[in-house]
Amino acid sequence: MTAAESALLEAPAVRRLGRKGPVTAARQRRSALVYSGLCLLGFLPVLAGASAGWRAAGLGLWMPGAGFVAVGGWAALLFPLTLALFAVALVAWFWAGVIVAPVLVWAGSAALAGALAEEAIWAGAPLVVPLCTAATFAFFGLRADRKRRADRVRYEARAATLPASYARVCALAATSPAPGSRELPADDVAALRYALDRALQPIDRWDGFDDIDQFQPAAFRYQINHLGFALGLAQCHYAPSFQGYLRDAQRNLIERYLQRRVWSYWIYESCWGHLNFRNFDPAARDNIMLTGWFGMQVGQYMIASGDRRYGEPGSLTFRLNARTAYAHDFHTIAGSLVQNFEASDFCLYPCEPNWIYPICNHYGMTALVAHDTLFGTGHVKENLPRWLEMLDTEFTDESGTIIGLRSQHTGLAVPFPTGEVGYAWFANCFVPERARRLWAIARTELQGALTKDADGGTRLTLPGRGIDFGNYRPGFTGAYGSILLAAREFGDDEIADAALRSLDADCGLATDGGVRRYARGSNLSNAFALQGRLARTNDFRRSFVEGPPAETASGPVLADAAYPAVLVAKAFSRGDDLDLVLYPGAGAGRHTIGVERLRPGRRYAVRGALASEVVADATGRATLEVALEGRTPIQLAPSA
Amino acid sequence: MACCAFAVVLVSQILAALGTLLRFAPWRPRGDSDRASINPATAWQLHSVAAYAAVLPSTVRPVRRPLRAALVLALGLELVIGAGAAVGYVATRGEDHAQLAGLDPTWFCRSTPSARATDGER
Repeated sequence: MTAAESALLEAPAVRRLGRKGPVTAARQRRSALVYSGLCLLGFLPVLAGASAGWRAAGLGLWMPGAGFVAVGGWAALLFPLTLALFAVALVAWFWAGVIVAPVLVWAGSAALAGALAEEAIWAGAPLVVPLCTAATFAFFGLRADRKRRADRVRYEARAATLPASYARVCALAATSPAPGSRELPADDVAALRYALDRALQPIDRWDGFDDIDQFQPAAFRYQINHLGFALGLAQCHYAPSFQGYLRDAQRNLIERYLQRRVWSYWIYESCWGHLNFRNFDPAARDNIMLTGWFGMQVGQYMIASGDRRYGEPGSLTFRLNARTAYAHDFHTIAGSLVQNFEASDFCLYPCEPNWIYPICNHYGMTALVAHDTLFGTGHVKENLPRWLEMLDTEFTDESGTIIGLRSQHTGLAVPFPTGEVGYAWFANCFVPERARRLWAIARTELQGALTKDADGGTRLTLPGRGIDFGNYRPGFTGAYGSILLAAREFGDDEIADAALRSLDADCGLATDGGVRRYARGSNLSNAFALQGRLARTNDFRRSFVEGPPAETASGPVLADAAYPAVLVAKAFSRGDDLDLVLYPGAGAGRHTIGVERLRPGRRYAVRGALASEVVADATGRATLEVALEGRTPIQLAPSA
Repeated sequence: MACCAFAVVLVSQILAALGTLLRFAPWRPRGDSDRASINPATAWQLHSVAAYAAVLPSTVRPVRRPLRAALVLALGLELVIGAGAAVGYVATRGEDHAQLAGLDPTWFCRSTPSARATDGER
């Protein structure tokens, strides 16, 4: 093990002394000061003997609804109700960036209490309200203390197993499949059709998508992103020499994303989160849940397909209405990421106004990886050191786990279910050693979930009923899919096979009309599972940092094939030849396929098609008649 | 009236949130959750609309409508309350100390004839 790796394994020790990051500490101090000032201000009417209304309103500043305690009588019942509403308002703030909601509930309840007060307030209120406040702080303080203690225990347990687990992960992830060596098996061809069906429909239709809300994980935008990632993996690693409907599908997803319906959530969030009622540009301030995720998708598509159109000015234009449009391209999306990283005191920056999700910032950094790969920029080199330092100091708890969510304004962390599994495959795109550490921790902690099923096969058994973030229903499709993808990324076949077995057993595996899906999962989770099915060791990383071999960018391509009649399991060129594996998608039969980028006028030997030889026309094109029945390999190579 | 509406808003929003949380409650009957967990959207196919229609229960999409309606109603009530508070504030601004923050509790909480008469005299 190198010295750098040893330091990496010991890195969490630096953080386990209970020290907060400097920015977090400063934000929390500021919040405490503001709150103390508010309490002092609220108590002044009591000290000054002001009217009952002012005293009730003042005490209402201590806690949401506390003013109703001062009003007394039946109005006191509004105190717990207001607390509950305040909790709802906090959820609205977190859910959709409605920063005004908790402020309105708190200030509004104080004002209402002031208005409801009559001649005098309840005499015990000036004592009870501060006591309630102290009890609330004590409750949260004790809970945080308990978590810190549990984190330290967890850290010790991790430290004991990490070196061996890390070494194991390094060994597993050492070898990636050779380019051009793979084809999709029939089951995976059927699984890929799930994504192709959704992507190839007209972009103003949303059949097969979950339509629940456009703010949180079930939003269309995330479904689009992950369907795009799955297609990008297929393009990069199985069919880099296939254009046709595979490219169309990915471009359709990108164009679909530009529709106002997908990004209009930002109009609302700008208003109620930034108090900005004029400029709704979704790729300007904050909103890394768009720039990071969409940037990744566009970048991966460009790398995998060789299509550079989204580098052109205005190629990614978000149109608000007939008069206003926000013209972007992949460069401006990456520029927005860089500017926001540089401008944020935390370096990592928010999705919804105020809320910083490290997971979305992983997407953002991966989008910069893609930009650097495509255009030779140095965004990652320039931004990653500070980004990692802030991740370590401001967003990592004492067990070494990345904090799911932190408030930019208050510095407070909020419990949010993310873990090493979800970060590992992103981190593999820009810090592979850290990614392996994350997976080393995850795989150790997953060992307890490996059980035997009735057939004696190894499967995953996760606690509880799970939750599918793609439709907010109980279920494990997303969790299994995510574990499958992470395990595949690090070559961990034991856990990958267990995850796949659990998916097939628990998640409603169905194959209808040649399309394979998980009926109990959301569309988003199906996309995750599909990514996991397609990926092999380091595939996700390589689709952002390498792309297909250079020969595929110049060699012959399969340009035309009818969907779903002709399904492509492999399309790979080594420069002069073209290696295809096709399946029939609508029954066995004869079909015509088109090949391009042949050498004009050159004669090619063909195996697997009806003709044994074909001559490219003056534009380098040729058509082939093929009879598809089951797996059908076809090879084109220049005739001797 | 206004405080009753405020209470309605509080209760409706809390119930809406509670309803969402209860979907994940561990004591829910298993069979119900199994039925609910089948996602008809996954059955849709580009070239087979009939297959999708066959598995799409008629109740699937309208399920969300009552929740949306409740949220819209709650939002509407909140807007009415907010507008009422603003009007009350503007109408009584500068009046005596008892009408704290421009909201007279007799006008606000008790919609009695005498209170209305008081309003009418302003």
